[in-house]
Amino acid sequence: MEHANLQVVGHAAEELGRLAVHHVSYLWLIPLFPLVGAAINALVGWKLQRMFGKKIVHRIAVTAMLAAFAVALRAFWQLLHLPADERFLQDTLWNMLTAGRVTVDLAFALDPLSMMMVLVVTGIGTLIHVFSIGYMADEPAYWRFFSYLNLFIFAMLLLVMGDNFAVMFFGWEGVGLASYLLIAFWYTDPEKAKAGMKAFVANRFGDFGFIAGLLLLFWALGGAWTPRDGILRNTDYQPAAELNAVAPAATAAEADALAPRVDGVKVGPTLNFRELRDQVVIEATGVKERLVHTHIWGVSILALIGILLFVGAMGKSAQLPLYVWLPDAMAGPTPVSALIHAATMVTAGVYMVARLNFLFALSPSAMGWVALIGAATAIFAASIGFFQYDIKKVLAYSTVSQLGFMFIGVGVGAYWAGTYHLLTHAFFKATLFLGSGSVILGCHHEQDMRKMGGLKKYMPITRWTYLFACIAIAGFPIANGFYSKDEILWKAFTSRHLELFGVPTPWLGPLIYAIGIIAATGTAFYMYRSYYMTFTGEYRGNSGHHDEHNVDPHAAVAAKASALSHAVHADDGAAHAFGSDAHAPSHGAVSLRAADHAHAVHATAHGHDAGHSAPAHDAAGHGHHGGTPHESPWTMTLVLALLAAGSFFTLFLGIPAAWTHTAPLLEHWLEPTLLAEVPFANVEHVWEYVFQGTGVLAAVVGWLGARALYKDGISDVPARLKARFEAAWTVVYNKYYVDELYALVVLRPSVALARALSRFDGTVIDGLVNFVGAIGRTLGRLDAAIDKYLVDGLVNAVAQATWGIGRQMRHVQTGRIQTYLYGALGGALVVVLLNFLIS
Amino acid sequence: MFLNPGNVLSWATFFPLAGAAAIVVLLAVRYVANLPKKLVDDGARLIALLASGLSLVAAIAAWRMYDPTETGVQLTQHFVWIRSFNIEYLVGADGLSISMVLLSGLISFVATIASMPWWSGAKAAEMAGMVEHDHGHGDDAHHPKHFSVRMVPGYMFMLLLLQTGMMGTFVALDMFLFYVFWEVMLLPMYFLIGVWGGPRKEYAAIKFFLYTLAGSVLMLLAIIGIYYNSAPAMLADGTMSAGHTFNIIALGHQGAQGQFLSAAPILGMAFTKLAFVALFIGFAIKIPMFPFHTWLPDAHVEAPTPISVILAGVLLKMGIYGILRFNYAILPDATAWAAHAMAVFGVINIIYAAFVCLGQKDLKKLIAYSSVSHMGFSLLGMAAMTPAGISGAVLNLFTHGIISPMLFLIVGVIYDRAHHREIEKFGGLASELPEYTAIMGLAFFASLGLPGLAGFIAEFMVFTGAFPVFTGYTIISATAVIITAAYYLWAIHRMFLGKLNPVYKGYPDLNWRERISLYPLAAIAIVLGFYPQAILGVINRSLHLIIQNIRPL
Amino acid sequence: MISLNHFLVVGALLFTLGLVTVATRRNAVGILMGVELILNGANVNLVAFNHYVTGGVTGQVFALFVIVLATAEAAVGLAIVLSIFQTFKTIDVRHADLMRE
Repeated sequence: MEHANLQVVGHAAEELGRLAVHHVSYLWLIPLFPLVGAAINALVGWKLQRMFGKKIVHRIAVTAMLAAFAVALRAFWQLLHLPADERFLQDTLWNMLTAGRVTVDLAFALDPLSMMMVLVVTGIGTLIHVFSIGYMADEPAYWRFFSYLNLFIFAMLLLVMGDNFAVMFFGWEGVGLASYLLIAFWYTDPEKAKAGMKAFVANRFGDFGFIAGLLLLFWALGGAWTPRDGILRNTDYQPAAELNAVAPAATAAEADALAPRVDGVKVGPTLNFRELRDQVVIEATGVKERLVHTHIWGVSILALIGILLFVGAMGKSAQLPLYVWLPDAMAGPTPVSALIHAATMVTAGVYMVARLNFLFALSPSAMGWVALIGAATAIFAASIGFFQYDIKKVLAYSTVSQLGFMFIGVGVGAYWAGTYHLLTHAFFKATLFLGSGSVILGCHHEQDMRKMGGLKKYMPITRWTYLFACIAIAGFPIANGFYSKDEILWKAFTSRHLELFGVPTPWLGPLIYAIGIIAATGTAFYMYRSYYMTFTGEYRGNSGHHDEHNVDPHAAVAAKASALSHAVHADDGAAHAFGSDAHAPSHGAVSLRAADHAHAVHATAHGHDAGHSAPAHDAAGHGHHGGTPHESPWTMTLVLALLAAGSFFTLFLGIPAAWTHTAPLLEHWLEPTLLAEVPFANVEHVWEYVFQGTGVLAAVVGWLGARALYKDGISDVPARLKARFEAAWTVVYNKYYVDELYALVVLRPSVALARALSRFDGTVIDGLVNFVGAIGRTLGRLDAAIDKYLVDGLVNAVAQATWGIGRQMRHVQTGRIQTYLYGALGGALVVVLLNFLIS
Repeated sequence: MFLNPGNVLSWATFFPLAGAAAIVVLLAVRYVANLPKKLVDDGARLIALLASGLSLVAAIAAWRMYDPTETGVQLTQHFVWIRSFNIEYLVGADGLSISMVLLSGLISFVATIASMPWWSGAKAAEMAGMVEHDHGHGDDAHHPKHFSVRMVPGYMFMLLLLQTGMMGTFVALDMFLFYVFWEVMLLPMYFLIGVWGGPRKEYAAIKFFLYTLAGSVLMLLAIIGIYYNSAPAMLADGTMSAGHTFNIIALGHQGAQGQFLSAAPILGMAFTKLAFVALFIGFAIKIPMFPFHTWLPDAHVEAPTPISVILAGVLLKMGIYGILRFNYAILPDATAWAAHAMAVFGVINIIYAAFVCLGQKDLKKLIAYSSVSHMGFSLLGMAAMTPAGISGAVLNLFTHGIISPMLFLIVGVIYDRAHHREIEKFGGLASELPEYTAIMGLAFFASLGLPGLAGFIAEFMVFTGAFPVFTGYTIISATAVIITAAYYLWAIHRMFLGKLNPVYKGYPDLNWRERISLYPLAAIAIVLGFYPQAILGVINRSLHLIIQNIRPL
Repeated sequence: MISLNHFLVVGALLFTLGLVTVATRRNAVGILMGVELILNGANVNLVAFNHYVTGGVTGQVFALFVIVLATAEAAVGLAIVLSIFQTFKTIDVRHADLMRE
């Protein structure tokens, strides 16, 4: 290990200076271990599993995780012992590419922010690996699952540890790949495979924005460009002359030597976060000044960069309008949902915005958009969450909603609060997802909450951890969720600097606060709803008409169901079919509430369930659909307990400054990284208590509402409400038809265009080629005809004539000497005669 | 030493030709000594493997001998060939050539391996129709004999001849020599498609041949025009006998000094522009550039797998190579004039072909069109004429040259088993062919530009390089990342995921023949994904030298 | 007095007789004899013109040459006739028409 090689360029203490860099040489081990684990399981896992059993597979995977976690702790230890403003570890492996001004190293960096992320990823990641041992025990392709999981961790570590945009993007896409593989893990089910595809492609929309933003940023910093007439170029912005020159560098050393410097700070285009930060943050370079005043196409270039980068975040972090893939991603195994689609990957967008806080802070417009879209997503997803019956879908929409909260945080400039919510959310949402996984396993791969109920009797540990996580997400002060959410909303209320389209909008902060508090109420409501539906009341899994369907779906409803439940049920079914099958005639499905229709729908619903439980059929120890629920094995409950404990203990990282008069621990820790100064309105501390009280009140309202409606499953109010607001309910239940809208606006036109173009290519373009060919062939034929009949005919005619004449003349030739003599005589006679005649 | 810097490129070029000659000798011996057919077939295969293996060794040696810290042409070898026209045998390499030499050697060898019926499992060989004496696999339409067991010596002869042509094209630094090698490539390709191809082989072969030949004619005209407008240059032995030169290096110097600007206009059009257009069309057909691309899908679909591999891996690269070597180096002013048009065509290539891919039903056609799309990136990158853009364009040649052969080999694997390529007719293959699915996934993701695999870096560099110059076009072409992902994933979805179509039950997974040809490429794709500087470090200087001569108009 | 004209008339008669012989005889030997007559007709003319017109010996020498030539011709001709007879078993020239085709 190389030792602390300190590079500091001193600046005045109050002014931000260059980052002090400690070069170390062990950071690469953190991503390496999961990579090795993934590689071993991918290449020889199936063989190992067959030879030594499944134990060896998960031992490899978990060992890799533990090793990575251990190295991360080692790095954490080193960071802790450095002065606060020197906490930056860097490890360069090699130069990946250099050409002109583009130079990219494969390098890792740890600063307080990425350290936090690494600990979350490896720590919670390890726990989820352990959880998976129990959850996936029946899976034949056990090795494949753990290989993918390790691969995901590898990519996620690249994402958070990347020293530059390129390495971050490696991770960014790598997690997308792992997510694709894991969502489509049970690929024999076309629906699940399709969900994976959807996730990847939707993310690609985001990536497009990300790349565009990145290119724009690179350019804005003075990327190598040569002005040419007639070629589109930026007329507003003239970078310094030295930046403008095309200075081709072939190696990294040359590129470094060519880069212009101001006060020893490298300026100019870079993909490196630290170099970017240095030149933007240090006023003396003038980069910040230039960027702020640069406009392109009439828009502030910083706003455009920020929004485009945020589009990337929208894809990865499932914000409006690119969130559609996340609910579908629940097709993956539940630990995957916990790890990727709740705790880590989906927070990548938040992380990215926080990482670039110094850039976003320069553009109030970009911040305004981030916050606004975050708020819109928070309330939108929460509203869908109200009415879902699939427990994982509820959690999925809850995740989307919570991610919206995080974006409110980083959008209004409360970067540490957004990041803190990321951390707390990782704990309580992982608990919730894993709890739901435990429930699903306990109920034999049943995900519909209507077929659960009363599980607290069967699975106490799962129940208590789930409840505690509900408390956390709802925002009661005894768990971590309250502290992060409260800080975000408070900061949102006090922010007055946001802009939209470059227009100052001081009202935006309070508006976002209002939306946020409503969304928070909703959050409490639907989370408790899921809790009550799942754990209280009677177990509905193997009683009532649902079970009868197993025997004879057609007879069951008519025979047994009460009138009320019958109606409700038919209703659900109709809507369900409607949601899952876009081809169903919508109005017919809604208006037709006849029993026979419900039958048909239930038959298909049941088919779906069978599909879901298909992987469990290999299981020896599992009963059939409808057995008694049971508590999960200790590996799973232990993980649940640990995560719930984490949800409690992490609250101490964010005790508000109003209570203690010192900055919260995490804010203090993150300060060197999240250095952007954002002006917040100065509000009396008293108000902060009021707002905290409001937050708790929102949670209580949501909780009580859910309790009244769903506790023990005895209230018939939900059914009546549903009947009353039929149309609205249907629209929300079907997720506002956003998927259908996408199909209509994006998918079908694209496919139609593709078909049309390929037909165009086959007929018109290729037709043109063939037409030219045909013309050539026709000309050829014509030419051949001319040749045959005219040119060749002439030649043949001459030959023919010669031949004919010769044939005739042959008769003269008798071979008799006398004949020849006559000829000679005749000839002489003619000569003589002519002689007389002429003379 | 046997291979030295003075002859290594010639060895790389003529090893395959020597192999071809050896096959002719073998055939002669067969008639004299009446050898059995099997012996002759195996002999021809062995000679082909050996010859193209040696060519690869020479190519690697050349790569090792090349000094990337130097600019200019290295590893030259020359002597006077036709004195009265100042024509020389002149070979040499700069960073651009040497990367293509390596690629060409590598892909040729892979293609040769893929032409062997050896190492196939018994069942896979039986399904593919590789059984040599089997009456069940006659020449009937349903079970045609595999190309690797049909007229083997002829096939190997043509393959080796093709390899010589390819290698020669990349190392020739004399225009005349270049043209000779260029045409040498054509004929074997015609026969390889036309004789050993699929059901519509004649149509495809003739289309390929005529199309490319039409391009060559334009190219030849331009070459002659350039020759007659050039100033003389020294020959290898220090003499000069004609008033002009075919020497590409000398022409590059002359072009940079504006030699051709003073040439008499033809039909009112400046000579440089006319020559540029003629050369460009000749090369654009090879790229292939919209709207000259339609020969490619047909040729690919009908060609046997190894020929598709060569076609996609090496032949397509010659278009871009030629443009850089001729248009950029010799006609810098016309290049600046045409840059915008090239960028537009690049964008059309990228987007148009990507959409066409999305609508394809035939897997091989899909991949053929994806090649068209990917070549568009090179056009866009080189049109920008920024260091990152042009390095990205050439890196794209190399990475695409690694990835697309993989894709075609993958198509070959399934075609050998199922005898069709209809995407819709497959389904759930992942359950039956897991190893195949894994390698297919790797290749598809590499091609759709997943970071960590080779394809991404080139795309990324093209974007970074082109953005400052062609902002709008770059943004438009960046949407291809979405479409590309969509068509590949959709193809995966339809072919590999879902319930297994029972027709494909019991299909054998990859055999050793396929592994030997696929895994090295896969390894290179991964290594280049994380360390593209291995190529970039070599090509950078030469390419930057080329664009430095191009002044804006 | 015998004048040049008398000689010429004799020569012409000899020539004509020879010509008729050659034209009408079917016997190859007869034809050869006709040829001798023609040659001798010419000889008479040569000698006569030499005597009456030019003087000297040129005409006589010519005539001698012709006689020698006629002898040679007769030898060759008879050899050919012999050969024809051996081939066709006849000396009728009508049958010796192989060169007709």
